[in-house]
Amino acid sequence: MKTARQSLDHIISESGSMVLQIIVLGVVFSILGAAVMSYLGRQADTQASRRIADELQNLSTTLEMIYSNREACGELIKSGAFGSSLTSLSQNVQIRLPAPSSKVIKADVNYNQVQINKAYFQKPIQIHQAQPIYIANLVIEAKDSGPANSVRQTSVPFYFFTDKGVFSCFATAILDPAKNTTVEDSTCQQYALRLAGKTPPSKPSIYSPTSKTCVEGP
Amino acid sequence: MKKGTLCFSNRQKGLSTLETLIAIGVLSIVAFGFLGWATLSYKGLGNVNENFEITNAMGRLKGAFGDDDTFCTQILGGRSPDQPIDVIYYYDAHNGKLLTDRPIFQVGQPVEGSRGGVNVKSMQLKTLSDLMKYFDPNRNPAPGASVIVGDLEVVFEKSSGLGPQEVTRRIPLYVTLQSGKVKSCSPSPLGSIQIGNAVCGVQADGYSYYNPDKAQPNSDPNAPQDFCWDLPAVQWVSGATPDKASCPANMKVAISPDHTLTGPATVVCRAQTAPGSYIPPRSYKSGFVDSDSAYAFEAQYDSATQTCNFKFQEGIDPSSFKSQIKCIDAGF
Repeated sequence: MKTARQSLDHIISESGSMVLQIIVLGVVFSILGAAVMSYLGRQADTQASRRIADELQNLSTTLEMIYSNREACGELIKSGAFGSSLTSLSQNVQIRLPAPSSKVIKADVNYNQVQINKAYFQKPIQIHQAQPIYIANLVIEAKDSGPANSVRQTSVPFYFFTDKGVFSCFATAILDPAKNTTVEDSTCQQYALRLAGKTPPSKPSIYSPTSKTCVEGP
Repeated sequence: MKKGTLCFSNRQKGLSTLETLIAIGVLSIVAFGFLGWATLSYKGLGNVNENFEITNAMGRLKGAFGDDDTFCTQILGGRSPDQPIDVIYYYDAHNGKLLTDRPIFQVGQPVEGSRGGVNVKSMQLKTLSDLMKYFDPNRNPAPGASVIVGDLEVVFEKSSGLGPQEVTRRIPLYVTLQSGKVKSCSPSPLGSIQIGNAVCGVQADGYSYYNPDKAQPNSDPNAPQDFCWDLPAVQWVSGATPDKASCPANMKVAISPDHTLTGPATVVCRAQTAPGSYIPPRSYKSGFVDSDSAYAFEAQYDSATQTCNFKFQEGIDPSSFKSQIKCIDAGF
């Protein structure tokens, strides 16, 4: 019994069919073409995905730059962008960047050609035992062009606290995620070490956003 | 097998004209298809390469800007935001000079390492948000300066002929301006200006600002330079006697009631030993430190009376000292 290969060889050699040879050639080229197109498509997806990651990182940096300012962050709270209290931090954040920009960061909008899917706060964490001072992560999710339904996300940590009866906030950066050490805490710790000289302080120094100074930690 | 139109009998000696024409026709279709595909693939590969060139170029730009104010300020210092930029150069930190023979990007020129496919079309530092309304002009970042957050936007032009021919990439920058020109900038939210302000704020309970241009005068050449300056609203008020100083009625002591770090004496009490010469605020918690022995006095802050009290060593003439306390307007 002839194998398929033998049958094909037979047809080609016996019949001398140019048309069949062309068809075979066409199939080979098609497979090659599909492989190249697939490679190009993957590269395009990778590049688009990388661009989305870059833009998200840029967005995160921009938000940190703007909202590390308390007044700018306070304005967002007044506008209701973040919710009205710690227990009701918004799951649908809407951030209108300060003028002259008219850009809005919220779900279902494009920011620099990145489709934002969600903008929400994670559950706040109390970082100061003695005072009601919290940190909550603002998470921004964007649609990725990679695998189906994949998303990319970035987060910006915010201090939340009540200052003289007013709900306040400002963006920070977490330097030690295990201990929730913020850049402000780190500054206080370095300052305390410098002042202490050879004798390290017995308690860690942490930043108090209400008094805008360093206090002894727990 | 039943012979169809596409199969040929063994008895046939060659191809008929019709068969030849069909074969040529099919071959032409395949050849055109292949050529079209080959052209598309070539353009596609070119497009992919150009996108990589743009990504790499932006990587070099970010690298050239570093992660604090140093490089960015040197590269963009003195430029006006929202104006076209023709060329930006690498900065050589060792020589303290811009490498004017080696641009990072130059408008109209191909990006470094490009095989001519990617050109820089335009560059601009675009204002995204003006933050000055959030600052007290007498406080941070420095009196008279203004702050914006902007994007250094670079528009690239590709030549592959596939996909968008203009690609815009950006780097967010935190920029301080003086007289409308870039005084300093940083690609990081944790640039030395922000960190410096945080440190100065912490050291002085928010009543000082960071001035990277000028260190405080210091009589001790071995002491670290201090770039934290008091806010203009701060006044060091001299006490009536060398051993006691307190703020006048319309002012308050410039210290947070929560300050527990090392005791308020470190930040609100100081002594003037001669015109223009002060003992800087520091910790006297564990008694005198070596370099203080010449001054031979100790300062303590009494929170109940909001007064700085000074004690002098035996044999020291207190009249050669002037006690001072740090005060600020009561409503500040």
